[in-house]
Amino acid sequence: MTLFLLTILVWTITLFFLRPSPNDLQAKIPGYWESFKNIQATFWLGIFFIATFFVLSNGTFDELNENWFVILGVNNLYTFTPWWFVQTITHNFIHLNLLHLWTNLSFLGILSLYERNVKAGRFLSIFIFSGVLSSISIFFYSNPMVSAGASAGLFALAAAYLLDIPKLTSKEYLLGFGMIIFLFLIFSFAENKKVLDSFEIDNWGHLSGLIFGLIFVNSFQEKFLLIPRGRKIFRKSEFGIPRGFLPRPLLRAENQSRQNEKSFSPEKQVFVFPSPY
Amino acid sequence: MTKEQIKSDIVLPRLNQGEELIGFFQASYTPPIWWFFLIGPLMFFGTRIYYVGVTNNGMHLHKLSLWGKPETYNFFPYPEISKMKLGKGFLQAPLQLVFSNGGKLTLNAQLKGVEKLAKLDDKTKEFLLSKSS
Repeated sequence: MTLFLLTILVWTITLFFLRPSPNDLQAKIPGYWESFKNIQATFWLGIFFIATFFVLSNGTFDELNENWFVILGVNNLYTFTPWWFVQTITHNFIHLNLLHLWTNLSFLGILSLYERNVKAGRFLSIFIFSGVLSSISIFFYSNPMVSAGASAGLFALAAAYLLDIPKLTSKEYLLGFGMIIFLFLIFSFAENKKVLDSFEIDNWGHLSGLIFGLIFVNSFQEKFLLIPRGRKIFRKSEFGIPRGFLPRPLLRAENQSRQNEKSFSPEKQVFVFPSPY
Repeated sequence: MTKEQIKSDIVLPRLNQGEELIGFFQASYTPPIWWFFLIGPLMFFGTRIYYVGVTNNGMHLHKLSLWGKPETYNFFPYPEISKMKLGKGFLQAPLQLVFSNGGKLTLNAQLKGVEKLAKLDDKTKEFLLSKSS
């Protein structure tokens, strides 16, 4: 119980006092409270991880109960059952032991930098989208296994932080994609140690999280939210699928053709004379 | 980008009318060392390149993104720079700036390098030292 309360306290204090300088040097430096309000998704996601771990460890806050691990973790034994699809979501929110939880909380705390750039909707969308799809990593293992942890979603956020830059050309995107994967391979697979006899780091899960994060960043527009409010996302494109689901190059091509249509449509043509001023 | 391209494409278009360019140079920003103890070598993802244009009115700071594209631009007239200190170095010289809004920036101005690199020349260095406090 003491560790549980201490973890919540340290998490809250750290996020409250983590106040990076704004990107724009001339912008006003925000106060602590103002800065903290910008990272609400990170804060509540962390609190949810801590609370879930506390409940699922039967109040010991030491190690996850094995029954819960099997029920909520994603596995490669009973795939494609209705419950398996639920597990692809739930496995993102449970942690095996205290060290696992603390490591992921530290990682999440650093990634709050990304939430400041894109706001909560996109931040959580990337986390859930990549966390769920990273479940495919279990097919890379021949032995029966159960996987759990938020790290795949967090790797996706890390990749998105580096490559979620507007007006990035396809060439730059591909270069960045390659570079991030290369760095990941160096950092992860170079030291492939077993943490414990029965536990192993799911590097394939991390890698697939990273890749899906990068795919999300390129595929979905900057304003895409988990619950979209704008109808533009669902407007049908000339390629037959909603605009929100178009990859950037196709979206650019469609925007260009729409613009051309507008400027050359004879019935809509308006002559504007240059102003003498 | 060569220094001629930087000058014509990035630095000169931002100058105001009647503003005289003293010089421009490339500088780098590295995050504070305590980040290394927290996230290890990943801290170098925070490294950024700046193109700094020095004029008679103030300093033009062009920050590049991780992928080398101009990301943000700021102009600080000299009265808005409350403290400026140019140190000594062999390859790079530390340039500390404190702005009137409380912001701080420590850059490493490039002193040596290949021909195409925009380096801090003696004329700009002397000008900056005259403005240093």
